[in-house]
Amino acid sequence: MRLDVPLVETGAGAQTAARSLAADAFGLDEGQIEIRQVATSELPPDPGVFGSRTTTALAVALDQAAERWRVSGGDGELTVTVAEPPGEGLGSYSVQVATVAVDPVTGSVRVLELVSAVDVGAVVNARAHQMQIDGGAVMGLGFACLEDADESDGMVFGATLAEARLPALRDLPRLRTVLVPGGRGVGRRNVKLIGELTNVPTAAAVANAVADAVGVRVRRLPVTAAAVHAGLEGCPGAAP
Amino acid sequence: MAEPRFVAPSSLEAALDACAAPGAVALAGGTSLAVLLRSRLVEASTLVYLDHVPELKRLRATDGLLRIGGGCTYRHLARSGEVAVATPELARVAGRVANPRVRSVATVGGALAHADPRQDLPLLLLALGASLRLATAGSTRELPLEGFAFGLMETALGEGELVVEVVVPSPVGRHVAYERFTPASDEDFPTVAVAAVADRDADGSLVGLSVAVGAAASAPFLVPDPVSLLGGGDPVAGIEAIAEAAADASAPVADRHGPPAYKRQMVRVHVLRAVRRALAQP
Amino acid sequence: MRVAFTCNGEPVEVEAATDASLLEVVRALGLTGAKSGCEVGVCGLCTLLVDDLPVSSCVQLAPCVAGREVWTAEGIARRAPELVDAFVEAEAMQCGICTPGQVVTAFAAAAEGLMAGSQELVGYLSGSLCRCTGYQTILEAVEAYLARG
Repeated sequence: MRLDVPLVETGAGAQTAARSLAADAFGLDEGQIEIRQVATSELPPDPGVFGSRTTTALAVALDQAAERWRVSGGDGELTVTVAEPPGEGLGSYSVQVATVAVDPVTGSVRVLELVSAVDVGAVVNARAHQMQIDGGAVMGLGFACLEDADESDGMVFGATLAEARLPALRDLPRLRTVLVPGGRGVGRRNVKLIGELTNVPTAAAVANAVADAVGVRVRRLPVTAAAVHAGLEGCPGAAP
Repeated sequence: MAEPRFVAPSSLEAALDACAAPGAVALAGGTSLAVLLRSRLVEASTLVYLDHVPELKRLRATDGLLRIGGGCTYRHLARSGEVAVATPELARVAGRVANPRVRSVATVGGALAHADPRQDLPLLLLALGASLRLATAGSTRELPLEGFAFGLMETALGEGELVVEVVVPSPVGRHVAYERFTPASDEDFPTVAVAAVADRDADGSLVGLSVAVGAAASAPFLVPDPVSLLGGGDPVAGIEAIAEAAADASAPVADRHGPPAYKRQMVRVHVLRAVRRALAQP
Repeated sequence: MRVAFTCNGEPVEVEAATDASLLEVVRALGLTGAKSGCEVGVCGLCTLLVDDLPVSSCVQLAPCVAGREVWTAEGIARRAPELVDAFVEAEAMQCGICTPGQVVTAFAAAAEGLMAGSQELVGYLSGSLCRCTGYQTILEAVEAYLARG
């Protein structure tokens, strides 16, 4: 079976997920399914990979496609256009716990461990799912501790990656994941979203951990040693 | 400006002759220079590529001196048996500069000529009491490293002059402590860096102390006369006096790492740490 | 000026501006694995081997590689298919933009004799940035490759 889908693969594994979901929906082996990305000249455009909509939209679309396929006799070629189903929107939840070590002399914050708990339904591809969790957590770490476009008076001083630093391997804490089953998803498989999740709570977790460690409440990102130090010296607003 | 001429001499004499031409710029690893050329901060009518000049690659330890050719790469220093024996901290720091790609090609001479006050190796060399052998087509001279870099990317290098050799004393009984403060990413330049070098004689008496501070002014600098500041009395007070003098001599700029007052305090803290470590070693 | 070098084992000769980067030259040859990222040598997307050592090709002036051996990810994939296998098995990529640089760096790490599980290896790989994966699968792939011997 060949499925033509106006689906853009950005690397997170949408096509792999499509094959897995299609196999389940159509009652076939994954090896029997070919996913072909087609242009808008062939099919109406898919809105795109954003808003963590891909896995869930695919699941609903494939379920409906399989149903109509069976109804139509299960043979030949069929085009199915799926509109967003009515009803309550779907969300996923994530809680993160950060363990930090703060040097009270310098204010320097070292994130030792980041635990991400995620509510899940059916995980379509465990490795891809885990990479989204890890990639998100590391992105969140960047927001929390490192990234700064360093804008001042309308000028951007963080002009290159040499100044606006992204997390590197050496910067990482221990990353741990807890998958919490029982989440409410969509489709036959009960799938949920994972794409833009674990990057969200990280800054708050780190800032909360710093407050817990040394009683300093940092309210601007990134959490810098200078800001923590200023808090320790009891000089509110001293950090830039 | 038209693209520069590119020459790749295979001897020091030929390299110095090429550097004597007006608008000639020496190129070693290129990791700093390529960025400057692209942004037009440096303009060159000729690029003189030094990587095929064998005299610049020499490295030997003789008579308590480590003689490092200006064209030696960080990787070369990090893997050199002579450096490991003579000044192990130099090998260790060289092996951790930036990333492996920089270490493959960037050179000691190039780093010194570039004179970014945040660089690790020039700072360490300053504390080690290094001196430089410089040459032009018609002259050579020796200079202590102290004062060679006097401002942001400003050095005493004359027109057409190359860093031919870096001479590093490596006496017995030398203890080196390097503190590199990177509160954000480990991959970053230091917010503040301090190198402390203590020399002890066979009895364990302190015969020399040198403290250099980096990333805290437009050039790395030596704390004046730390041995006097240390005094003969309470070592705690003595070390604090050195830290205070270092903070006073700092002129840090505000940036994403923090305001000047914070950096000055970090100078104090890291001088304390570096000097304590250097003095604590038996 | 004309620059003659060996690229992935084959002799090549190109006409390049003296201040052109090796990255531009290699990509103009159709070897587009090496990517333009930060253009200041920090991110690792442009990593190539020159005479067996990893370099940032974005800040390597092309004439400097005259007479040298240059290897790109494409060539290394042929030299070390088990390295590619390790990346595929660990799924050590998402968007793929950092992957050629990671592969070249992993190959260089092996040549340096770095060991799986060592802090030295972590430090060595740390100069190659990734935004998508969170690095765990990349480290897994490289360690699997190194452990293979």
